[in-house]
Amino acid sequence: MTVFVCVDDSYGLRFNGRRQSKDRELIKDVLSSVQGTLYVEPYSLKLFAEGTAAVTDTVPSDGCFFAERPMAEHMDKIDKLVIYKWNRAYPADMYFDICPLEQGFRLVSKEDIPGYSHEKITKEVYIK
Amino acid sequence: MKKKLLCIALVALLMLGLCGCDELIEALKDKSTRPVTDTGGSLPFYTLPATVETVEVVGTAPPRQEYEEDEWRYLGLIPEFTDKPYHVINDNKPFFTKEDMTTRSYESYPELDELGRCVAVMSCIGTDLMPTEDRGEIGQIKPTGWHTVKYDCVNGKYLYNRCHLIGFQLTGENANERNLITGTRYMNVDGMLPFENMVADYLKEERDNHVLYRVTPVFLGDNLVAHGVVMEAYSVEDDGEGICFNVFCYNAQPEITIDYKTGESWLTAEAPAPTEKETKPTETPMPTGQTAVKPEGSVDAAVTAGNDTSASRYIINEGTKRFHKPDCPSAEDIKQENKREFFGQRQELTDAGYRPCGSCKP
Repeated sequence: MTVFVCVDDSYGLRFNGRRQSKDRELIKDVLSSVQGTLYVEPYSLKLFAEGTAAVTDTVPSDGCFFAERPMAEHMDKIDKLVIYKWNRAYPADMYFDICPLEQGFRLVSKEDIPGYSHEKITKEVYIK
Repeated sequence: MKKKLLCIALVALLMLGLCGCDELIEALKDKSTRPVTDTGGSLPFYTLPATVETVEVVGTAPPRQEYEEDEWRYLGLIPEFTDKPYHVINDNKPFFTKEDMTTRSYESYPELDELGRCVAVMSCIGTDLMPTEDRGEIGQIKPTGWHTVKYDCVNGKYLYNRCHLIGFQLTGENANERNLITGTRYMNVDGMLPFENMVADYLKEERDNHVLYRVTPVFLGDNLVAHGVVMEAYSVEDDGEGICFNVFCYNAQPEITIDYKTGESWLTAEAPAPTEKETKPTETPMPTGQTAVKPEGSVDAAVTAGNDTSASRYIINEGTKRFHKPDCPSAEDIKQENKREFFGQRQELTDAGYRPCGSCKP
């Protein structure tokens, strides 16, 4: 499974049950990077145009998953990790809990993409 | 008598807000020029904490910045500073009333109080209020309790910043004395800035939306330096789906004790008398013969990051055996082969022999 995730400077994901931020250009980039079906949880569905993502209540075993939650417990299902970094400090009470370099992933690409509401979003791709 | 006159803003607002979500939504419908989203997911906006049920509400004033210390303690809403830059209030539900809700941009910076201190400032922020030019000079403003003082343990050295209540990136207020308080670097950068960032980026993405926003400096008695600020925000058009928080940011600085009456400060480890080497007040020297008794109105900010038991993310330099905060500039310069990410407790790193970066002080 390929996991897409957006984090702030501290790998934060959410604060008070809400995502820290969003960016329409980032979503476009996710969709252009997806191979196969993109699965999202109900909370994430609004980010995607109709027909571009499939809703799931559970973390899938294959395909692509747009994660807005910790994923360490599903480590065995993940073979590719795409991390988008906002390059901003936001408040957080939920964090992404995978350190890719620490947990068997290697960095294969890193690039900065311009966002709509964010000057520079850094995209890092890791594989096992 | 004085106590009665001092309306407890948080309580008053809580009581004021004893209306249901339906009323709130109706108000939104009345005032909004845009469609109101489904109310099904609306939050129970106004909940009175059990701890303040018996407090007499003496008025319906807007939020005040002044509290008696015993009232502050009694409220029990805000514990003393330990190791987090902010504390969530009222389960993150703001104290706004239905009358506050609007989709019309405005900003309000009331006159300073009789001691020259800022009071609560409020805005309904839209992109039309956000700055289009870089920030200008603000050094000519001297908020109450201001001291130009440097410490080696403070990132950037200077303990105090001229701290915008409503951040410049939100409403573009520059050298407005009604919007600037004496705030620690820690409160400014670790406490308030992340919340401001979240609101600013939300508005840049949802350019037609508005965020109701209020920042209330909290002064105890006649103190010249605020103990902190209450930050409330609520995104109007989407019923808080995008932005909704209510937090108290501590005007504290790890390793430093502040006398909030005057703004004087010293290294906690060296209290009561600071050394010439460590403290360099350029305006008001520390009084000699300072006793070890914690001054009235001061909060012990002695808790260092070393006592932090929460898990955080760090960047490790295996070459130097130092660890950094993820946003530390030094972390960017670490050679890839020496760079390692770590998520866990700080203590685990120090136990393993790693030392904290002297710059970012993780």
